[in-house]
Amino acid sequence: MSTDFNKSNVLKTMKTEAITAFGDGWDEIREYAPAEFEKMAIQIVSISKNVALYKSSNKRKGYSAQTGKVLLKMQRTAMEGVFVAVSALVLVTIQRAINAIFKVLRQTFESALKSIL
Amino acid sequence: MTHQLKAGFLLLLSFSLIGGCASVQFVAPYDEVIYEGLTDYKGELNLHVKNMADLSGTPAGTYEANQLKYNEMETRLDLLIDRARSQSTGNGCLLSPALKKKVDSYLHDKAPVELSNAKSSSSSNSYGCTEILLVKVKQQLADLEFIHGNTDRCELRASGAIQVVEVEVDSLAPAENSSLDQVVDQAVAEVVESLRAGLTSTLLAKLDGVVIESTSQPEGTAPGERATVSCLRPATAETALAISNQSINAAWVVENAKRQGAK
Repeated sequence: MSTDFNKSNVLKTMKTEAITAFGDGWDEIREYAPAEFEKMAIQIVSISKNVALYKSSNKRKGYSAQTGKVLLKMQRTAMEGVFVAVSALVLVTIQRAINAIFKVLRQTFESALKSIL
Repeated sequence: MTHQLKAGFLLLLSFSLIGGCASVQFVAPYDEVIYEGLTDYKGELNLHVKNMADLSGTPAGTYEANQLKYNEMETRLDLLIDRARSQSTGNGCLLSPALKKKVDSYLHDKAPVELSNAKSSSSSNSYGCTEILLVKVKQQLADLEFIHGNTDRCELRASGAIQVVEVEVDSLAPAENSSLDQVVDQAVAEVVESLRAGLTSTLLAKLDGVVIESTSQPEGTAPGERATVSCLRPATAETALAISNQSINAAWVVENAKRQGAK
């Protein structure tokens, strides 16, 4: 056995791997959600501007209030998708982290864990 | 939140260790067909919407001329949804209790139906998340189609392309004993006649900024009113594409995370 199989060493390995595994995953989620919320804000402002432009330009520019209404509905659907994606990403990240830790535990304490992992 | 999740993670890990489980699976496995299918669909939708914006106000850009394209894209999504559904455990897309509480506090009664009705447990999984995300992508396509066919209207304009007038070869066949001049005159007369016929059916043509008004009032329009057709206005196309891409990216980012984990 290359490393002593004791509580202290197992915990140390787990903690080290957890920081690495969670670090990557959380960074992705942390960047993804705020960036999408910012896009939503920009689009909602854009919809109201285009509806106003349609009226002021005698229907030559922008789009109608009816179109604006459907676009807002689409924006709401997109927002729901972002929430669903974030919840799924949390689970993907946890799964990835747990499996990464198991992999390292298996490699580090191979002979001691061989029978159960 | 990070500390709570880390604590939860360690608890899950301990549980797995006690149970002797070698690896965990909270989400449906990475599926290359769904990943590639989404990438292809995004390219197809972006191209279609950009084309529609360029063709707005022309016969080629009307909803009627492009209905089949919508059917094609919808079918592509249906196949992906069916595939995701077959991998789902039937539990929908479940949230962890902590995250569900947070989402509920942000949205109150405005939370999406799928979230408010979702059961929440410590053994939550996201096997059904991909299916829900793909269904949302399909909803966006249906809304885009509705705008194209119902709410957006554009003034009719020429496509800008040079109209090729086809004249049947038989009609140009020279009569017996006719001279070369007569043959040429006959051909020119045929072409002029065809052009005239084409122009009368053109209600309004904008060529190089010059507006050619039709000689008669277009059907269904009041005097002085310009003819309009169904279209995707350029401004609509820009906003709708940005929103649709958000929904596609939501599904794609999850598949991509699974893909990274599968490597």
